[in-house]
Amino acid sequence: MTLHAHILKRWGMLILLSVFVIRIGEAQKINFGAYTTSQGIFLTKSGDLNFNDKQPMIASNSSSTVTIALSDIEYQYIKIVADAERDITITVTSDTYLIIGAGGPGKQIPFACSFAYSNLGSAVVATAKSSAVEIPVGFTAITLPMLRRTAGVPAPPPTPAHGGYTAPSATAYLFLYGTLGPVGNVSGGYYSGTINVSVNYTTY
Amino acid sequence: MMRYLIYVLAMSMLIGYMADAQSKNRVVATITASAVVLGNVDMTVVKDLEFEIDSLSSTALIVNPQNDGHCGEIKIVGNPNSLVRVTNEKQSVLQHESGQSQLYFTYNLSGSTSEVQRGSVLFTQNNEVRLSDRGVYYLWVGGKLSGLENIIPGNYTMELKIDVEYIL
Repeated sequence: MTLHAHILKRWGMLILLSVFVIRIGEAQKINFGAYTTSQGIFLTKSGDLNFNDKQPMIASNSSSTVTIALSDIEYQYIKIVADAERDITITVTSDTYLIIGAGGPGKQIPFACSFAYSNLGSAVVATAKSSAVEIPVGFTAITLPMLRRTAGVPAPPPTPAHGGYTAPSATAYLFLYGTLGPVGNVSGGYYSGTINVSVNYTTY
Repeated sequence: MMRYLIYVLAMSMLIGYMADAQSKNRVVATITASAVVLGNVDMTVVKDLEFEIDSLSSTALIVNPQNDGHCGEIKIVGNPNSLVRVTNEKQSVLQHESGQSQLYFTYNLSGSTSEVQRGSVLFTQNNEVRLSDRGVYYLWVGGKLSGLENIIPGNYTMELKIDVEYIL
């Protein structure tokens, strides 16, 4: 065996060993992930955001805008049910235009999506909305506890999974609304775009 | 060489396992944002309003918009099922080509979502009508021609101005 082959063999063994060490470390984290998966995050959406619900007739060739505010009845929401002791990260991304056909000049209208959250644990939408926190324009991701602590000292860390234990769940709401326009000189017809909402347990 | 392949395989498994753990932890919902925008509303003249006065037996001539073949016909095209307001002049002056004589025409309109004149409905004032599910509406233009006691041979012409706008 040459010196070169000998060094290669030793380094090779070292790398292989380190891979398994990392894998063992990750395996513990994966068990933790399996714990969260068993609790699950459940999303239920109320419906789609329709600007004609706010203004039935929206005319082209105008500079008008149509705004659905959180205070309006035309907003939509996503109900989030997850482990009450965990933090979640919500990411909201949306199209910046509602388009008809392939979009482009004369076939697209600016769209700005806004969102707010409520995590006071109320299962009633109206109650949750009254305490909703609006997120400033420009933010697309927020991290929040599933159940906001209203008073007292910080809660202890989440209870680890163990036999027969069922973690308590809580309900949080994400409210979606926004502004369409200025409409501009566009073709008549049905314009649409998508809002994607992603929710996961936060890892630190 | 075999050893390198084992290393690469081990690393791929590790990365794949980590990515899988992340994906199991995420849920996604999609909401559609939409709006129906009204395009332009257009009018097309299908047929002009025409009279042929051969002999005068009275001082006035009535053209019934619901059944007279001399009526003018206009087709309105816009967004399906949208509500529009039709506004027109109530009276026009027909000018003789020589400029030496005038007749007077008082309009009377009827309309329908289908091109069936006899099934059309008489208009009153500033009518609000709904376009069909294909986005069309038909107007028939009739009325009363008066001032015939002063008529002289030749052509008389006039223009009717009709405005159609969406009701927002």
